[in-house]
Amino acid sequence: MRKRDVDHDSEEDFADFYRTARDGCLRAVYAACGDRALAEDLTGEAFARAYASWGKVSRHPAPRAWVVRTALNTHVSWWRRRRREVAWDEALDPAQDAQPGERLDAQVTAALRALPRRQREVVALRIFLDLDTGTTARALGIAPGTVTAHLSRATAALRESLAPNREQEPVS
Amino acid sequence: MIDQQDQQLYDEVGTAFADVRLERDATDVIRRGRTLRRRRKAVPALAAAGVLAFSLSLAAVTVQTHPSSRTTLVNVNVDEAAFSVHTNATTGVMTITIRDFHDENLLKQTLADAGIPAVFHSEKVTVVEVNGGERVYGQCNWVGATELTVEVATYSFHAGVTIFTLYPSRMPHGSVLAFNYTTQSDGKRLASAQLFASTPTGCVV
Repeated sequence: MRKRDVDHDSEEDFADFYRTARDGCLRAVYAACGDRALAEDLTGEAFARAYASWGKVSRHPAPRAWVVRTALNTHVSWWRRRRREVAWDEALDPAQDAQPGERLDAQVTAALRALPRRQREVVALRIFLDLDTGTTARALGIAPGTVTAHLSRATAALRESLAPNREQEPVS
Repeated sequence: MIDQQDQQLYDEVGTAFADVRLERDATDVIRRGRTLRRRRKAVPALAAAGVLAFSLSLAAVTVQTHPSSRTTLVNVNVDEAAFSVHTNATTGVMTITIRDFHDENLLKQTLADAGIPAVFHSEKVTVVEVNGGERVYGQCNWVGATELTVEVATYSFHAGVTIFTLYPSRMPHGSVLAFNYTTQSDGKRLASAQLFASTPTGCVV
C-alpha cells in the first residue's frame, strides 16, 4: 500500500549489500567473539537491523563496520529461537562450532582468542573489512591513536604466537 | 602504514577464515528486518509488576459512533486494579493503562465493549545468558492471521505502569489486536501488542 517501489528498490539495494558483505562481516565477528554459532547469530541479527534501518545505514560511511559493530553490541535470541529444536547446550558444544567443510587453523584461532577483546576487534576490522585507522576508530568508538596502539600490540602478539608455524614453512 | 611483514601476517590470519561463510539467505534476513521495523512501529512495552490487588471498579460507558472509522467505536472509561481504559470523547483516542497482568478477560471484554477486538496470551519464558548473548525459550508466535504494519498505537512507560495510546480509527475493519503478557524467568514482565488482519488462531511456541 505504501511506497512499494521505494521499498522494492531498497530491498534490492540491501540484498546486494548483504551478498557482498556477509562473509567478511561474519569472519570479523567470528574472529572477535570466538564462537562460530554465536557469530552467525549476531551477524544475522545485525544485518536484519541494518535492513530495518537501511535508509540510515546505506548512507553510513562504512556500512560493513556498522554491521560488525552492531553485531558485537547485540544480545540476540532470535535466530536461536528459530532453531529451538536444537538443544542449546548441544549447540554450545565446541566440537560443533565449525561448519561442515570448514577447517580453521587451530593455531590461528588460539592466537586470536589469546588477545584482549579490544585488540581482537581492531584486528578483525582491519583484516576482514580492510578498514583504515580512522574508520576503525569511528566504528569502535575509540580514538585513532588507541586503534594504532591496539593494532600494534595485537600484531606483535600474533607474530609471536604464529612464528613457530611460519618457521616450519619451506623457504623458497 | 602497514608494512609488508604485517600484511603477510594479516593475510595468514585472513586465510584461516577463508572457508567461513554466512549461508543464511538474504530473504531470511530481510524477513527478520521487516519484523524489526514493524515492532518499532508497533507497541512493545515493559509492563508493570507488583500492584496491590484491590479492585476499584468504576465503569462508565458512553456510546458514541466515530464516523471516520470503519469500525463502530464506543467511548469507554473503565478503571480496574490491573488496568484502565479511557477514550477521549473529542479525539476518539484510547488510553490503555496496564498495571498488572491479571484480569485479562475483563480487559478483553472492556476493549470489545469499545469496539476493539483483542486476544490475549500469557506466557512464561526462560532467558539464558550465554557468551554475552541472550537466548529466550518458550516465547510464542501468533499464528493463523496476517500481521499488519499499520501503526495504530504508541506506548510510554512511567513508574512501573505501561500506557498504550491507541488510535482505533486507524484499525482496518476486522483487524484484531493481539496482546502478549510475557513473564521472564528473572521476574521481568513484558507486554506487547501486534495488529492482525483477523483473529489469530493461537499463539504457539
